[in-house]
Amino acid sequence: MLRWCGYCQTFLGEAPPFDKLVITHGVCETCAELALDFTPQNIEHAHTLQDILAELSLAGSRADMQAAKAAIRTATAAHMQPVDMLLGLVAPLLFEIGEEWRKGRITVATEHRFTEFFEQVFALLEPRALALVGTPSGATGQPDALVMNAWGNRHTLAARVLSLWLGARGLRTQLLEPPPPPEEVAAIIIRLQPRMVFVSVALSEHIESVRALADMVSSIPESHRPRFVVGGSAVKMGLVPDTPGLELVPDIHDLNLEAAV
Amino acid sequence: MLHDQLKDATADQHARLDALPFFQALQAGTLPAPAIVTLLRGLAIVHAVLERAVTQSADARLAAVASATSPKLPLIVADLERLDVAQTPSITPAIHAALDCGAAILRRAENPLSLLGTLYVLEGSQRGGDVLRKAYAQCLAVPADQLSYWGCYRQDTQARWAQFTLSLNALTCDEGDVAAVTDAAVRAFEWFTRICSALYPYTEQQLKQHVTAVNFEAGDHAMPQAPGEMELALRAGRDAWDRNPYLEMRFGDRGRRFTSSDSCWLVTLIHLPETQGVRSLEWLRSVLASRGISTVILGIYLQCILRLWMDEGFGATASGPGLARFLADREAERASLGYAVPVVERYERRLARCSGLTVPSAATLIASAWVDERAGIVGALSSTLDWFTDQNRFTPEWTDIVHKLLAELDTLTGAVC
Ligand code: B12
Repeated sequence: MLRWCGYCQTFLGEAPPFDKLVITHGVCETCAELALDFTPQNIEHAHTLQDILAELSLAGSRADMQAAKAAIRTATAAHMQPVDMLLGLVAPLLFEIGEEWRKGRITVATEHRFTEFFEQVFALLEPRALALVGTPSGATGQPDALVMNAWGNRHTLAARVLSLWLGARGLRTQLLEPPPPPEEVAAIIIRLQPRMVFVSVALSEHIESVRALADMVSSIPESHRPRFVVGGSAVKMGLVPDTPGLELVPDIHDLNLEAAV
Repeated sequence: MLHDQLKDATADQHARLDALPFFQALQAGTLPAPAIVTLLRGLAIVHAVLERAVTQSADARLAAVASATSPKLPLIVADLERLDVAQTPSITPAIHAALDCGAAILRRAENPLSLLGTLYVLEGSQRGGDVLRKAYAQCLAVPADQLSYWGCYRQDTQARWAQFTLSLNALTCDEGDVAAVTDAAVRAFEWFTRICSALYPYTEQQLKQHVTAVNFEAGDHAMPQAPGEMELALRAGRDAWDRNPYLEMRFGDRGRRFTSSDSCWLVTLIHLPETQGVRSLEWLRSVLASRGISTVILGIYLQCILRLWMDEGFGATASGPGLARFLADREAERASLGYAVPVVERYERRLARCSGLTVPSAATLIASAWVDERAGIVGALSSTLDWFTDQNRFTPEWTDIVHKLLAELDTLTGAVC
């Protein structure tokens, strides 16, 4: 299930059962502080979101970009932020496509066509999300956080979403895409001393290279060493063993960002 | 004329490709073997995607042009086999570029004109014919007639090209169509430029075992890199394949290739801790069971791997706790569902006595699919059963026994529940 804040339409994360793309409403921390109660409008919003999700899904199956644009317009009118659309609509639909492939219900060709379509939707929303963040990912200067894909991970969307999401939470992020060679990244870390390094891993084998990177920068005194936070499909699926020096975070919403800002 | 438009549109890209260090080294006879072997592997990836998409397309214009070509994939596969290069590592950035190229073709496969543009570039690359074949053979130090892909039309090369371009020019295309074909052709040149730039020069660190060397359709997943492990995985895969004639009967050569690549991936799981090993296997189980490969087959793969692993003395490095635990879990699962070996064996004997086509271990495979379904893999049973009850393949007597087996399994579970 996909949890959205019933008041401000912020995406709050996923809730079990994970394979059901049903919108449910919760309350985000900010709105909870205001101690508001659910109104009929909130319930109406839940229906709207469910409809938008269905519309987008249908647009994907028909490769209909006009329909996708219309769904985005409706979502914007419902006060959803682009980064929340990416996390709460596009990512779950991609997840579902992956599940359909795993269950043998669609071919690799169909899966690729869907992915291509949602990459285009993604490309449509990314600049809008960036515009709202203010400090674009990849900006120079002293970043709070580096965001990158593990070497060999061909799933490139997650790192981009993550970088936008962190930006929306006030972190100055630098997205390394594609990731430069490990020695170069180590040098960047030593030079820029970010507080956090976020790495996305999709398959369990991708973790090896992250371990190696963490080792490379172990010479940095502990007080200045960044936190290595690792997430992605493989972490979500529990395929990555606990590793000293690496924080595994299955859901972006579980991130503790206090130390970073 | 479409051919001229294609030639003009791609001239710059073509020249850029030809000027790469890769082709200079080829002409000088100094192109190293891994670059050529990796090129063949990359071409296998690309041709596999293209030829499949072309065959599956219902577009008449594409079909008309494609009929003037012959499939190249079998030639590439044959060349790689003859060269006996299974142990030669691949130049990984070039394989990644080839995978990207394959994905790009697949993503646009719904537009037949896009496939046409790629076909034009690949067909045109055959024109170098004899010259290219000799140059590659010289670099590899093998007789030129050992290579069949390059210049595959031999003395008919010019005639075949003329026929191909004639069929292109015979198409009725509006401006938009021409733009779609030429755009795809330019893109194809760009991809090949990317692939060949990555092939030469390369660094030693870029040389790795890549799964596409054993199965050009396997994509991009983990491969054993430690000495001897890949060989062991392939041997275990062959053992498992031989023990399951059903795989050959149903999935043919493609199944054999996936057996090899899956077996390689399974060997990498030996190094994982128990929990992660089990979860990875559960994921693969659901992938396979949904495609008519019930878990008893996966179990045989794992047994073959573990046996060889221990026999060959690899046990000291890792013991594959996830694999062992997964096998034990399956036994417990069968027991909990009331799976009765004697019942399945009774049906095995009945099925073996049927006239017409019979499949060794059919009852075991079907019963295993039944377990998979009960274990929550929705569709596992039907994906196995569809094949085993196909009336064009089996006699009514056979399908009747299959249905009886299922009914009896259902009663057994009823008894346990
Ligand atoms: C699209 C896709 C592809 C595309 C990617 C295209 C692209 N440009 O990115 C392509 C075709 C290349 C691909 C390839 C493969 N894929 Co794929 N793919 C997917 C799919 C369907 C969607 C991925 C995606 O972009 N999701 C959208 C993003 C935004 O979501 P996300 O990745 O989950 O990220 C979210 C969280 O995980 C988290 N997060 C992500 N990173 C991080 C990092 C940090 C620090 C934190 C805190 C959080 C975090 O935040 C994100 C937002 O919520 C997934 C399905 C799935 N369940 O994820 C399969 C999936 C990941 N792929 C899978 C597989 C098997 C493969 C291949 C091995 C197939 C093959 N045989 O080649 C290859 C591997 C390639 C490689 N070496 O990386 C499996 C992996 C299973 C496993 N056992 O590990 C999946 C799960 C499909 C499935 N259901 O089985 N794939």
